[in-house]
Parts: sequence; C-alpha cells; structure tokens
Amino acid sequence: MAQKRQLIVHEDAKSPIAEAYRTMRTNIQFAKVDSDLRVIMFTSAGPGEGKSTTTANTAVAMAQAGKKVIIVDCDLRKPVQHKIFGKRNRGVTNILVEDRSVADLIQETGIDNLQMLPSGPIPPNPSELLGSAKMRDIIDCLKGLADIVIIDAPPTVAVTDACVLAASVDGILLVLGAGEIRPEMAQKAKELLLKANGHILGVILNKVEIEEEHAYYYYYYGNEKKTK
Amino acid sequence: MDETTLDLRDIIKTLKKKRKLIIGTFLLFVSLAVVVSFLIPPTYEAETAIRVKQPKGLASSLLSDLPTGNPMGTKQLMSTYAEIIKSRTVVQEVIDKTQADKNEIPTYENMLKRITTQPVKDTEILNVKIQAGSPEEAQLVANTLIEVFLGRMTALVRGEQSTVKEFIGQRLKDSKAELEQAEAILQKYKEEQKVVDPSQESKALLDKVAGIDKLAAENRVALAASQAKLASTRQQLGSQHQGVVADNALIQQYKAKLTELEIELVSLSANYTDQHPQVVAIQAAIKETKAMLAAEIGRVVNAEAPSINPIYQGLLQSQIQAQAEIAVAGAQKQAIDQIIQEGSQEVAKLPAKEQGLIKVARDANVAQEIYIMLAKRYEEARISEVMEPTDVQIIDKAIAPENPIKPKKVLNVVIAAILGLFVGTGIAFFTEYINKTIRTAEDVKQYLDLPVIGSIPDFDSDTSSHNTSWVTRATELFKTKTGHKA
Repeated sequence: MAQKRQLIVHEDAKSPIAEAYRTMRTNIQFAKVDSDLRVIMFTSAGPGEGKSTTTANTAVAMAQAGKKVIIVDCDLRKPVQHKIFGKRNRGVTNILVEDRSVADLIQETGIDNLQMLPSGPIPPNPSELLGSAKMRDIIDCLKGLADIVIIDAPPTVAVTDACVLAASVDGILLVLGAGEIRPEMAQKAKELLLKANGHILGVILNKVEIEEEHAYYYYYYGNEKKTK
Repeated sequence: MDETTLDLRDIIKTLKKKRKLIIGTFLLFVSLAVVVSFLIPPTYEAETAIRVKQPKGLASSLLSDLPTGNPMGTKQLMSTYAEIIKSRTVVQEVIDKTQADKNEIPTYENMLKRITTQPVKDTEILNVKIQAGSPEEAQLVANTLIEVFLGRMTALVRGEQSTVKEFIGQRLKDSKAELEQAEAILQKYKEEQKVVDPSQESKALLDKVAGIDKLAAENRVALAASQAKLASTRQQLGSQHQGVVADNALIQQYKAKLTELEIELVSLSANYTDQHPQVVAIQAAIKETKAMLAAEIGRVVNAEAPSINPIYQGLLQSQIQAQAEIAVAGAQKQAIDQIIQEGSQEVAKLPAKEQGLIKVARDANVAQEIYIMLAKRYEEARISEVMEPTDVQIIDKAIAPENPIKPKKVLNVVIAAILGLFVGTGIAFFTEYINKTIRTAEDVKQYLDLPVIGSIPDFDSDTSSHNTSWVTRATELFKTKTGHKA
C-alpha cells in the first residue's frame, strides 16, 4: 500500500475526497472565532498517518478558495512537501543556517494563490533550529506575505519538534489515521501539545473507511456532476 | 474507561471489516476437514445380533428358577454376556484366529476398543458391533467373535455339568451296589423265612412309611446334588475370591424359613399324600422361598463383589446357593430321621418275622428310590453336558458392510464449517477488541474531547475496488494478506 502522494484536490477537484477537503476548509475557517487564524500547524501523533498529504491538500483547497496560502515544510527530519509539489528542496534550513532571505526561497507551486517553502537540507539538530528566535521571525515574515501560513510539522509523540512550534502558531490540527491510531497515543499527543501552550483546533480523521452505501452515494453524485 | 456499548451496527461493521479473516478461517477449517476426512483410513463396522434367554431347563434344575420375565434379570444377564464377549479369553482367541497374518498383531486392549455391545431396549437382543479396516475383516471378526463366545459359553456350562455328572455317577454306582445288595438280602430273607408277601397289617404299615422313605431318598439325592454343585463351583473358583461371604440377615432368615418349611413338609408327608392341599401349599411356599433366597444371594454377590468377572460372580452365586441347600437338606434329614424313628416303634409291635421282612423290604425300597432318582439326575447332567447352551441364540450373522462408518465426511465438513465460522468470528471480535483504535468522530470525542474538523476518506479503498464484486475483492485482500506474510 505504497502511499500515492497526490494532490487529489488539485488533480480531481470533483472527487468526493476533494469535496471532503473543501468541507474541512470551511470548518477550519470557523474553528477559531475569537481571534485571527493565520498560522496553522498540521501534526500527527505518530508517523504514517497521512499528515503531509493532508496538509498539502488542505493548502490547495484553501488556495482554491481565493486565499493567498504559503505552505511551509517544518518536518526537518523527513521532509516530503517538495516531493509532493515536485520542487527543489531549498528552504527553511537554508534561511536558518545560511542567513538567506525568506523571499528568495519561496517557490511558486504552479497552483494559483499557493506558494511553498520547502524544508531545505536535513540538519543534525532540527529541534534547536525550530525553537530558535529566527524561526519565529520567519513565521512572522511569512504572515506578512500571505493570508494563511500552513506548517507541516513532524509527529508529536516521536519528537518534540511540533511542541517547540506549538506556541508560535495560531492553531494546531491533529491528523489521526482512522483505525490505526491507538487512543493512548492520541491522548499523549494532545497532552504534549497542550503542555506546550498550543491551541488545538481539532482533529482531522484521515483514511476513514467509507461504508459502502455512502460510497455509492458519493460516487453517484460525483459521476453525475462529471457527465454534466 | 467508559462503558463499552454493543451496537448492532458496530457488530455488522466489524463483521464486514473482518470478513476476509472470517472467510479465511472458514475456508481453512473446511479444507482441513476435507483433507483429514480423505486422509483418515476408512473404518467399517459389521453388526451381529444375539438373543439372550433367561436360563431355563436342565442346566439349572438343581434350584428352582428365578421367576422368568424379570426385566432386571434379563438386563443383568445381558451385561454378563456382554462382559464375557469382551473377556480376555474370548477376545484373545479371536485375535489369534483372525489377526495372525497382520504385520502388527493388535493387543487385547486395542481389539477391545473395536468391539461394541449394545442391548436393544426392552428386548432380549444384544447387538455386537465390530470395527475394522475392511468390510471383509469386520465381518470375519464379528462372526469369529460370536463363534468363540458360544464355544466359551458351552465350555463353561459343560465344565460345570461334567463335574456334577462325575460326582453323581460315583454315587449312582454306589447306589446301584446298595440296591443290588438290598434286593439280594430281601430275596434271601424271603427264601429263608419262607414268606412271599407281608401280612395285611404289615403291608399297611409299609405303605405308610413308604412316603416318608421316598422323602428320605429325595433328601439324600438333593444333598448329593448340592454337594456336587458345591464341589464343581469350588473347583472352578479355585482358591480365589474366597473372601466374599454373602451371608446377611435376610439370607439367614430365608434359610431358616426354608428349613422350617422343609421340616413341616416332612411331618405332613408322614401322614398325607402328595396331593393333599396342605402338602401342595407347603411345596409352593418352599419354591417361593427358594426363589427369594436365590434373588437375594444374587443381589448380595453383585453388591459385594461388583468388580469381579461376571463368570466368577455366577460361580460364586451357585456356590452360596449350594451351601444354603446343603444346610436346608441337613435339617430336613434330621426331621425325616425322627419320623422314621417313630415309624420303627410301630414296626416293633409286629411279630419278629414280619419285622424282619418290613426292614429288608424298606431297605430295598429306599435303595431303589434313590437309585431311580440318581439315575434321573445323572441322565440330566449327561444331557446337559453334551447339549449346546440354548440360552444364547444367534439372530443375525454379520454381513460385510457396504459403506464405512468412519470418517463421516459430510458431517466432518459441516462441523468444521460451523466451527470455522464461529472461530473466525471469535477471532475477528477478539482482534477488534484487542486492537482498539480511534475510528470515528465519536471515538475522538470520547478519548480526546476534541472536535473533528474533517474526515478524509481512504484513498486506496476509494480508488480501487468499490465497483468490483466482493469475491474479487476478497481474493485480492487474501492475496495482500498472504503477500504480507511472505
């Protein structure tokens, strides 16, 4: 079951999955009413829950809604965003280590309104880099460049990286692989993020099994739209 | 932990999700059952039926029969015969006769496992079933078993009867000598004293004592027969099982009553003939008491020595019966002797010549009476010895069975199928329970108390297989499963 990393929202905008992302997009917009929601971090409890794919697709969905979106790959251990969008991997670590300017490294994705900042080469000390003052500067800078900044962070329970970033973002979305994640793991992830003063917007349930009758409905609806 | 609630929908969902596992287990069980059913060598069963009758006739004429048609008796007899069929002597002989050409000659215990005896309810029929690797062998073993069993029964009965016959034969010889001697004396007396017939008075007296003389003769023969029986059972029992003493209060009571009745019969016989109602009544009472005594002895032997081989149980029973009979006959003899004593006093009043005649005539009469009775008994014993025991009859001989009884292929497969479904479902629910994961928005709410912002359907299940039939899907899943294992 090799993960097909695909931007389904972009490639097949009529598919039920794309529809699910669009629904989610709306939900995120209403998730935080009291204050601005500009910087959103995506993380998961453990590896392999489909976090990066979900992040990329959500970013695409938001861009499609007309918002100016920048996606930042802060998974400095196992970066994949540049692969998903098929871009050169020069980004966050280059800024942090080599003093390059943010604007230099932001790349266009080829999708309207969506730009990206890859992770850059894998550093030996990712947690320290992400916790530095410079990292906060980068985020602030990005806020100035786009309506919404989406951060792809590593799994929470495995490494502390996500917790280091937690306080610097406006909201956190926890991606959980349905039928894969054990309740204790998820609870642990929530606990860690709350301890790090993170604001958890909610959970994204990924890989949800569709019951057959629902799937039929989805498909029927989708196909009908296509034929029109 | 929150209370786990079982929802029918959850159950169906789990079943759907784990159907590959359930179907896999099901198929595994069924194929295993099929393979095993075909691998197990078939077993054939041959059946014979024998009829077990309540013993009657000469073989057990020494003591009155048990009341016939007693279901308990039949049941007991059936188990006795079933045990004899399964006894080492019989089974070993069958092994020697039928299994000698085998590479691996079965032991007694192994052979025993292949023999089943089963009484047919409410009848005197005993079914004997034999299992074997081939129809012909099953038939052969079954018929050989019955043959050997009948042979064994004949040998057992004949063994008993031949001892009795020998014993009585000895007495008969003695008795014949005595009779000849008594007749010679009578003849001689008549010639010497020149009397042909006793006087009218003597003749009346002689007739009167004749009845009691006959009783005395019967008593002596009965005593001899009982002793013969006792000797026979002792010989067969050997020194074993001497420890069992069936001598409880009830048996003592029956013995005492029997003695009493016999003595009463003796005193009545002194004055009345056999047809007198009182004599008939006493004789009936005696018969009844004897039956009750025999039943009680049987019960006690069964209760006190239940583990002993049924053949020995039977012998033990006859031994105790013989002892009781000897005791009763002894008491009877005393009573008879007393009456004879009284008779002699009357005789003493007659003239000397007449007295002498009566004495020798009576001696001759008694000797003759004894001789006749012994001769009758001897004849009975002789016939019994050569007679086939008729209380076991073969109803059905075994025929070669057409189909094997084991393995029952269809039944095995059905059981395996049911079992497979159960086990598969069990494993499905068990793994589901063990691998508790977050699956739905409710789970998220329950464990994390966080809202679900979005639900993204599964890419893979979405793109590949929704429009395909479940069969191809199952095989596909099966493949991925085995692929994982490899």
